[in-house]
Amino acid sequence: MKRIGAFVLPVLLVAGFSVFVWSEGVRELVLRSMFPGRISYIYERVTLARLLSQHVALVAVSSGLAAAVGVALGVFVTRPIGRDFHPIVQDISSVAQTFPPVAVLALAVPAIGFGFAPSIVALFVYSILPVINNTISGLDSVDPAVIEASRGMGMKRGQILWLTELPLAARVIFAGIRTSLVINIGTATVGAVVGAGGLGTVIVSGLVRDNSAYVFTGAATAAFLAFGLDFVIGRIQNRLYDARSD
Amino acid sequence: MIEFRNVVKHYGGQTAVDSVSFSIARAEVCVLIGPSGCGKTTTLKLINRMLEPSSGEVLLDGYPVASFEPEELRRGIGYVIQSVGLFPHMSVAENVGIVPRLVKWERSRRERRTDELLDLIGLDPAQYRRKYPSELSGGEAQRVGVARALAADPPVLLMDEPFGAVDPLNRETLQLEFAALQRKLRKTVVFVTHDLDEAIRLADHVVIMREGRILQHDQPAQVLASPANEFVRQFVGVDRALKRLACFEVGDHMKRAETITREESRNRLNEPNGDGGYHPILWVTNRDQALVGMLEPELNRRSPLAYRPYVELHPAEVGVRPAASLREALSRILGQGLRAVPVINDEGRVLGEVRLSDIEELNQTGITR
Ligand SMILES: Nc1ncnc2c1ncn2[C@@H]1O[C@H](COP(=O)(O)OP(=O)(O)OP(=O)(O)O)[C@@H](O)[C@H]1O
Ligand SMILES: [Mg+2]
Repeated sequence: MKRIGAFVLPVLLVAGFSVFVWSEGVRELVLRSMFPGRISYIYERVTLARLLSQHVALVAVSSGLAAAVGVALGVFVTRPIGRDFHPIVQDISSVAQTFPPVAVLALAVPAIGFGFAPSIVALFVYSILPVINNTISGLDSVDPAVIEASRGMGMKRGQILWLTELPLAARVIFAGIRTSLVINIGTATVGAVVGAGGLGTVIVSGLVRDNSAYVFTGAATAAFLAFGLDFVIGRIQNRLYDARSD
Repeated sequence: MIEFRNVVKHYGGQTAVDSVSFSIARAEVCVLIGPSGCGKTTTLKLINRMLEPSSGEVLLDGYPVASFEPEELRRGIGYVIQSVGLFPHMSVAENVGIVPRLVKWERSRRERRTDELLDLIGLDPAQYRRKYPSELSGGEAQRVGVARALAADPPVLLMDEPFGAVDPLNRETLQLEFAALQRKLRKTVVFVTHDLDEAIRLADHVVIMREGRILQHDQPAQVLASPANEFVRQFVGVDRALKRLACFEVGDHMKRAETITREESRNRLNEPNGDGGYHPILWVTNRDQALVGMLEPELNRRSPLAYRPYVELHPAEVGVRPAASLREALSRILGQGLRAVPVINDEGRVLGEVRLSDIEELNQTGITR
């Protein structure tokens, strides 16, 4: 019974969400019941589906880059050649994470300008931090005895990294990527201010026109995206680590 | 097979191995033993180039180990790590199959080999293949560590306190299993321990170390019989004579035993004491020639008869196996209050006997005071 519930609930939620995004009629009905007495419920310039896909593109590109570059950097500073950079990178990334994301974006505009590409850069810079941080701490926390064992079995440096260190640090690294993704989904709404499109567009428009139905539309969609993705990654993580009770 | 030539290893200002020279023959078990921090692990790691000597050289099969690629060298040398060192993220099968994987065996061959090894170390492959190290008991993990070292069938095995982390009872089981395995596999084994009984049980030669130097390198019986100096004497303990008996096998020291049937025993019971000459214990066997009892000689000279009345025996309690040690035989002799105990095989048949007098003699000839 519980298992069926665990399966049915997400499916229902996703179905409801899809209908909300793609069917303007249903959306208007929902919004009208929540915010009665408005002139407009549906943002007319761009469809919500299009804003959603812009949003996903922003997040996917920036987070993808952040994950790849962040893991690579984390690996680099834990190798003998990169050891010298280990403290600097770790300090910068933990300090930088305390900046609010909006501030990062606001600083990025004068430096890079408006549009999609600069937003990607800003999002990338911010979301790479948890990835670097977690990659470093994940790799640093691998028991030296296990690395010693790998050496003893005749693994070369690269094999120690691929067969021992990364698998053992994977859980922590994944957690970093997950954090960075979820943060990015939220931060990307601010991208609308700098003309990057995405779900922020409808929120900003709602704020400007004092239309809470618009604000709700954008915020709810982004929130659902964040929850959904977090849920899915969590599931994947559990699937990966279920078998071993380490 | 393995030779150390004036090997020195410094860590910073500290000398961990100090000008060590010795060699280990093919198919022998050489046990390095000594107090904690005396340089045993360091010595071991110099063989597979986990460490490089500060000076001197280590030879393997006549070639300096420095002439091999380190990784290639290590894949050809089995290594059982102090404190097990299994990979926590890999299943038992993956752990055992790691070296074959590194040397690029095909998957099917790897899997066959893994199952074969799990069988060899007494873990049912079907049950254990998929388990993770965190799901194993200490003893099982140690066994898997040994299987992993054997996986690619290396001629040389380095074992760093392989059974250190298990309770004494399990440790003894593991030692006996390993001894049996080694009789089959005949690897060249360098074995580190600080358990003297373990060394005596397994070693062909022991190397006793202290502060990076070798104090004595000899067969265990020889070390126990004549310790090279005061430190070794103390290290092996005041009960070294008794420990030394553990180095000898019953099978090598048994004498012919006299066996008779139950019917014959009735006649012998009337045998007169006569001139008080030597009367052996008469081991009484049944129709299947299995031990059932004995006639013990009468020690009281004035008694008219040579033998005391028939006594029934439990073979399992009295008899020792040929593979048992003289130490065990002695403890049976003392436990039974007899002059000798029978040596029996699995069917309970009498193969011979071990006499207290022989043990005493062996003890006196070897030991120096
Ligand atoms: N990486 C290292 N750096 C500095 N000193 C070391 C290092 N490894 C070992 N030593 C020192 O070298 C000496 C020998 O160490 P080793 O590990 O060979 O001892 P051991 O005989 O194996 O001891 P144990 O029985 O405790 O395992 C010790 O005094 C130890 O403190
Ligand atoms: Mg050691």
